[in-house]
Amino acid sequence: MNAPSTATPEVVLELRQATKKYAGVPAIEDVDFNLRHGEVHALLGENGAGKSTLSKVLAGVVTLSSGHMLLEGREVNFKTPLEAHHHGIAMVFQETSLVPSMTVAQNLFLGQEAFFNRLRGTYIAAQQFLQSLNFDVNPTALVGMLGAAQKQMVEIARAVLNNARIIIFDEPTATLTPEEKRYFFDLVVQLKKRGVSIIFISHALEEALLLADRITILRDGKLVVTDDKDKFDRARIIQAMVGRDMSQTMYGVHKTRVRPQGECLLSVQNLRMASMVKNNSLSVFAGQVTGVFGLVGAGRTETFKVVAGLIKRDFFYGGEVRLRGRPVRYRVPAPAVRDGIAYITEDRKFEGFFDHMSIPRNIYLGVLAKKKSRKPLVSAAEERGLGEYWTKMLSIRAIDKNVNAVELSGGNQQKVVIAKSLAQEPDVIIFDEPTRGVDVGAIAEIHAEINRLADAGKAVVVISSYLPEILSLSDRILVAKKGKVVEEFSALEATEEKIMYAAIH
Amino acid sequence: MKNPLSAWLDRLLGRGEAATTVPIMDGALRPNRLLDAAQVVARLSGIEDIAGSADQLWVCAGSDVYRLAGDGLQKAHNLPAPVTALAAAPDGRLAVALQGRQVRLLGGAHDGAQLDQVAGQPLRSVNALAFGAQTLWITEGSRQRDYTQWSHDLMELGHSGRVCAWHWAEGSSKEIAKDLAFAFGAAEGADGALLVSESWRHCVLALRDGQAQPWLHDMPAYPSRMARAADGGFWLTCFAARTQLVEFVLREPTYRKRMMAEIDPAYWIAPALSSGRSYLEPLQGAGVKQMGIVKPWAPPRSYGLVIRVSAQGRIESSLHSRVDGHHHGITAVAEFDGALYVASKGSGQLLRLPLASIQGSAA
Repeated sequence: MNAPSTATPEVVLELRQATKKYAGVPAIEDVDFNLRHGEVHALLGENGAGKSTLSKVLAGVVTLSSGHMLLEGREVNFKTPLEAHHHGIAMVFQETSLVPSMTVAQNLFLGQEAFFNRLRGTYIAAQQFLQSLNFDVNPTALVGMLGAAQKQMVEIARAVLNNARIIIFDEPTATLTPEEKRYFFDLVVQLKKRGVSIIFISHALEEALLLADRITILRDGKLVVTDDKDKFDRARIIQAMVGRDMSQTMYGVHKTRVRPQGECLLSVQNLRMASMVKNNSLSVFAGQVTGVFGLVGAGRTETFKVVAGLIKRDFFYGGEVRLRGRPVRYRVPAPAVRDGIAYITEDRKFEGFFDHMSIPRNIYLGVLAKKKSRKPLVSAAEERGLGEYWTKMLSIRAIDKNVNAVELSGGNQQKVVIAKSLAQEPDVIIFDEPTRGVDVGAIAEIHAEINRLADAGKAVVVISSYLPEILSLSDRILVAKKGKVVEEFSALEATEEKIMYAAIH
Repeated sequence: MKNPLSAWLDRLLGRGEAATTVPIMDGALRPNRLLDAAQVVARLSGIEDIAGSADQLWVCAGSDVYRLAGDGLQKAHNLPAPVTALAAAPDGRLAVALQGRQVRLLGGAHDGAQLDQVAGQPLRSVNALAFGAQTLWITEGSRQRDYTQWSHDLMELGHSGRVCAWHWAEGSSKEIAKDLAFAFGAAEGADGALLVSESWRHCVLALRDGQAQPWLHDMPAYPSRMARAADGGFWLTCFAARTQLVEFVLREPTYRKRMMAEIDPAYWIAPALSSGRSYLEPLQGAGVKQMGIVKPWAPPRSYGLVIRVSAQGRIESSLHSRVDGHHHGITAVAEFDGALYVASKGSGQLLRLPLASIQGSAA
């Protein structure tokens, strides 16, 4: 395993002919990759392209099946993440690895505490360190109380504290608001100035084009291209990622027609829920996609969670939800599901599926949730049939049809969550951030499914924080601000500027 | 009959009928300013109703009936009492309601025929008329209150309205439906049903063989007179919009009783045909005015709304005069000569909008 050292001085980390196989199936194959000193290197690709495997190899989470890894010209072979850590490589995962019940300072120094640990001293050290990074986070705050961006800052601070010279970010902006993203971008720039090399995995192509110095694109486990950012544009990236030109089918085309409004299936009237939803009213019509845009805290998710019975409205004078003109009040989701309301969660990993159940079983659970009088025995044949139907219908890609949902890529997991809800044959389908953390190819497929549902006469709601997605999908656009809908646009007249103005002012 | 315990629980929890909620105006009801942009044909204080026949448009205000002549109006009839409803038959004859207490035919073979009572009950507040084949459909808002006292009827939760049919050629009349919460406007539907607005229940009913079915329901405004559209469907006027404050007051009988006893009706917490003329008018929480400017999204004490409804009962588009607009209190509408004529009783104006411009602009 000793390879000659031929790395140029500026290259800090290098992979040569790297291959990683799971059960004989290659996740990455013959990949040649290098990371330069102080650069931001974006790693792009569809879900299942091998980005996560590549980053896990670099961070010591998994080991290579064949090939070589060189750190500053010396061959290394990390067996554990700790080993990588000791060599200055840290990975910041999409789901942070912080302990929510501990303070920021305790998380920062976790595992490095002195035998006689003095909490005050820890706080002072943490404060000084966070200030040196210019991170505005209170070291005494409980991590569980922090927003996504601040959690990410703590993760980054922990990586820098451990003298990380290389930081790998896996989908760092997937859970961030637009303001938080801007803050995060500033952090990346600061880290770069400190000479830290950064690998940045993202599905947001604009972010890659904005932040990265170089871009590497993977497809089906193979490296397609590595080049300077200036040599890429959106179309070239997409083409390299999916092997076909999809820019015209995604966000490139302005709508010239909208679907006509059908029956008013869902009407929310003066809804109130704690401080999140304030006297909110809206209607959803059959045969249309109703896009709901707003900044975080606008009460969009909470409103529709009340509709679907996931959370309760205010006990006194909490307003009304009407389904086909009939007042309904769901205390749990099951009756809402039976009445034809499906809520497809924004947090698929916690609320969307059962990790260690197969694709067909996850989908079958959706059907069981709808049935009022459950049979004493479940039907394996029905489960199998449903699995096969929806796997084909939504093009769910997996190594094996009985693979656990946790082993699927993000896009395919999202498709399982969607299939689970659609198998309930709902009339009102609420998609909450349907393409968050999903690759470009899967986004196109999910969008096609959303459009198919609206064309079939279903009332579809799409809650999204991504304006191009709202503009490309919606027939009518509702803008929420501080707990209520404040503006409505037809898709024909809406522009990003108008929507954002309504969301902010 | 609702279970008293259930009704008490609803009231305690603010749900069901006790929920003070109002449907939102969105989708096809999304606010615009088309009524404010309309051409003003004439200023007529007390303009009440419009009726269109094949070759003429009729307008009534006070005791006078006018016909459209060129770009203005020409007086055609002067009647002994204020006209509260007007209808025109295809053959040119007119039907008028005088002070809500008498219906009279003008022109044609039965010129001067009158109707004062139906089913042994005298007429008191006739507010809309519509011609059918050899039948005149009559809606009476209340049998307890005069037509001008419609807000009293609302505050008393009146439900004594009725729909009557007058077969003038046979000299007979009958009640079609009764105990309605302010019947206000009727039109024959495409499938033979009679469509009737029931204002205080915010719905339009379809009456078929003595059975009433909701045709439009849970509306965000008080529906009133209707007019057929040339290409099928209907134009439906709404003379005021609902607000949570009024809905709340309607659930507080003690408050209402005292308000009605002690306060001038012009300043009640009740819908109005026009507003903003006196500082004594009640306001709602929320910024009705900021820096002296009335905000268009403020809860409306008065509002202008005309709704285009398909023959199947689906709302297709709407014309608005928002809270900060001028043409409120829309009581009648009629298509004539490629345009839509609208009576804004709140502003005392007859408005005109070319149909082509509406189709291009309305939501």
